[in-house]
Amino acid sequence: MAALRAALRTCTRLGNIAGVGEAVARQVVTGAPLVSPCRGLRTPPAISSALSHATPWTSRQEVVVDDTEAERNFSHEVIGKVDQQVREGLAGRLFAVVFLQGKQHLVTPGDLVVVQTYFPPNTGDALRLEKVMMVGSRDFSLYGRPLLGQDLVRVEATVVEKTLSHCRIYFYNRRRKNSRKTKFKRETHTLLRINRIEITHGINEVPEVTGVDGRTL
Amino acid sequence: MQVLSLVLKVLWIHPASFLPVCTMFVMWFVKVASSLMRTPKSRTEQHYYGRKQNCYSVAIKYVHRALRYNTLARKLRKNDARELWTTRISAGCTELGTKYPDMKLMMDESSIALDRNMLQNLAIWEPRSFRALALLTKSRQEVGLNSLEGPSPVGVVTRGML
Repeated sequence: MAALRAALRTCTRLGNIAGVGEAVARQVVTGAPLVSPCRGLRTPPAISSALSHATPWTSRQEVVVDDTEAERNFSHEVIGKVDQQVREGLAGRLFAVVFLQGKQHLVTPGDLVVVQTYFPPNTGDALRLEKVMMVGSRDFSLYGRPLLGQDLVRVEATVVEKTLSHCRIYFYNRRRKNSRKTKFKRETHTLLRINRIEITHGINEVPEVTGVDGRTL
Repeated sequence: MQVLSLVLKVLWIHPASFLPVCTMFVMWFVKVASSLMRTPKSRTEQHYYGRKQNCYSVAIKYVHRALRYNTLARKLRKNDARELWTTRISAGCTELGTKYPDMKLMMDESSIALDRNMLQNLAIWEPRSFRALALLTKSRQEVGLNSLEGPSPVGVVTRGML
């Protein structure tokens, strides 16, 4: 009873402040059911045993740290390290994802790639595979969106062999309908040996003019 | 036959790519019942049971079926391979705490055009590169302060909820 009287005194003195009702509720909740005699004060409802799991309303404010500067510094540091590896040639063995004749191949120097479509280059021709989608080494990977710049990565290959595939039999039969069709097909296979993969310049360099790769006019 | 199928399963050799030389193109001019005895050993029906291995008129039906399956399986192999790649990428994503659809979404938004074959190759042989993609996926999913996506705090009712 004394606690209730003390609470009444607080709310009449402080007037119409929302947070005070909460303070009052906290004081009074433990004992008798709540009576709200204070005029103009919004007191929360009686907290019965059914709602005993519900916590009283708490502040949801958080302090958000502005970390844009830290993130920028971190990314610059990482790019710098990759750049250093590339310039000094410490990257080691590189692998690349190369787009060739509609298919993607994961290649490293020394790999054999089989091209199963019509492919004009002859045996012994040195090729440069220009559409590089990704390049990577032990410590970093560079992803093209969708292709990496032609001036950045250089993938060189040689045509090793031009043969035909095994004989593929295309056999169509409709049973009991006297309908049968047979077709024999041997596709041209061109074997390419990947000679080397090289990143030609540092990755932090932005060219003066962009959007003119591969254009003649 | 059982050993062969077990070997095929372990090595994941698709039926489309495992078919020895067909006999009917070797013995087309002698269609006698037991004429297959004189043909070379590397025939389609060499490992069949009983008369299917030794008699032409019995064997030819099964050889036709084998050739038909071989033809149809070439298309199915592509579907099977794609399904296998998806499973592998999904497994790799789960290991790293993301999901395959989320990774696909991230790649579409970032214009990274690597296909499923390459992704599964990276997941197996270049795990660090695959991990970089998974981290990219997770960072793309983080909700910023100004974003309209993400759940509302408890106790806030927005117009869209009504």
